[in-house]
Amino acid sequence: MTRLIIVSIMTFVFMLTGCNHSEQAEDNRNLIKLNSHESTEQQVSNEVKDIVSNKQGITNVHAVNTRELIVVAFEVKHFKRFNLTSLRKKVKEDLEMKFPKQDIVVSTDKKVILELSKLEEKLESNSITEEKLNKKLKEIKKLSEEET
Amino acid sequence: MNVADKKKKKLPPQAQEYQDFQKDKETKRPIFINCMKAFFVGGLICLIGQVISTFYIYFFDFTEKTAGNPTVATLIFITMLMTGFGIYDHLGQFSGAGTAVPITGFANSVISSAIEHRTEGFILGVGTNMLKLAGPVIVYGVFSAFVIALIKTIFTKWGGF
Repeated sequence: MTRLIIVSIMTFVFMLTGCNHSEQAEDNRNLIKLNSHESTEQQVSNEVKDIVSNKQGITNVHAVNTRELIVVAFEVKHFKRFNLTSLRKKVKEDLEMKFPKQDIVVSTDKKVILELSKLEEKLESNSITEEKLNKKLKEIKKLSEEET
Repeated sequence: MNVADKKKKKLPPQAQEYQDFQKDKETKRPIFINCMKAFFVGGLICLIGQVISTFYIYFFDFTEKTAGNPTVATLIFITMLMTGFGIYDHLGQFSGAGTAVPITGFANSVISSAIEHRTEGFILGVGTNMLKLAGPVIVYGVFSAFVIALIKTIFTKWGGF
C-alpha cells in the first residue's frame, strides 16, 4: 500500500518535472529558407517566416506561396495553445496588412504543417512545377478550411 | 448531519455499539489506489485514441479537426470486439471510472446490454434495452451541453470575452 503511494507520488513528480523541462527548453526554430526559383518564387514565404517567427511563443513556421495565395502554418509552445485562436487571428491580421494583394491562409493544424513541410522539401529540391504547386496549395487551403 | 447519522441516533445503544464495531472492522475502500488505477487506465485509453488520431492525420487526408470522428468510430469498434470477447469487463472491474468515462465506456454500456437482451428478440429485447444505460448519458450530456452553451453565450455576449 505505502509502496504504491510512494510510486504514484514519484510518478507525479517525474511528470511535473517533465513538463517544466519542456517549458524551460530553449526554442530551436529551424526555419527552412527556400531558394527562389523563377517559376516557384518563394521570397514572400521567406519574409512571412521572418515576421511570424519573431512573435512570442511560436516555435516553428512553415510557409509556401504562389502568386495569389500564401499558406502559413506554425507551431506554438505547448502552454501557448490556450491562445491559439487569438494568435492565429493576430498573425493573419499582420500578414494581411503586409501582403494585401495575396490571399492568406493561417493554420496551426498538424496536417497542414505536415503537408507544407513536404511541399517545402519538394521546393527545395526543385522537383515541383508551378502548376503542381498551385494545385497542391489549393488542396491544402481546402483542407485547412474543412469542418467536422 | 446526513440521513444515515440521524437514523443511527434513534437506534438502541447496543446496535450503535455494534455499528461502530462493524465500521472499525470492515475493509476500507482503497479510494486513492482506485483513483490511480482509473487515472492510468483512462489515460492509456486516451493515449491509444491519440495514436489512432495521429495515424489518421499522417496517413489519410484528415486534419486535426476532422480526425476526431474516425478516431471515435475506431475506438468504439475496438470496444465492441473487446466487449464481445469479454475482455472489457475485466478491464472495467480493474479500473472502474477509468474505463467508464471515455467514449469506450459508453460503447461498452450499449453493446453489453445489446448482448444481454439478445434472447428477448431483436425489437423488444435488443431494441428497447440497448440504450437503457446509455440513455441517461445522452439526456444529461445534451442538458449539460445546453447549460454550458448558455453560460458561454452570457460570457461572450455580455462579458466581452
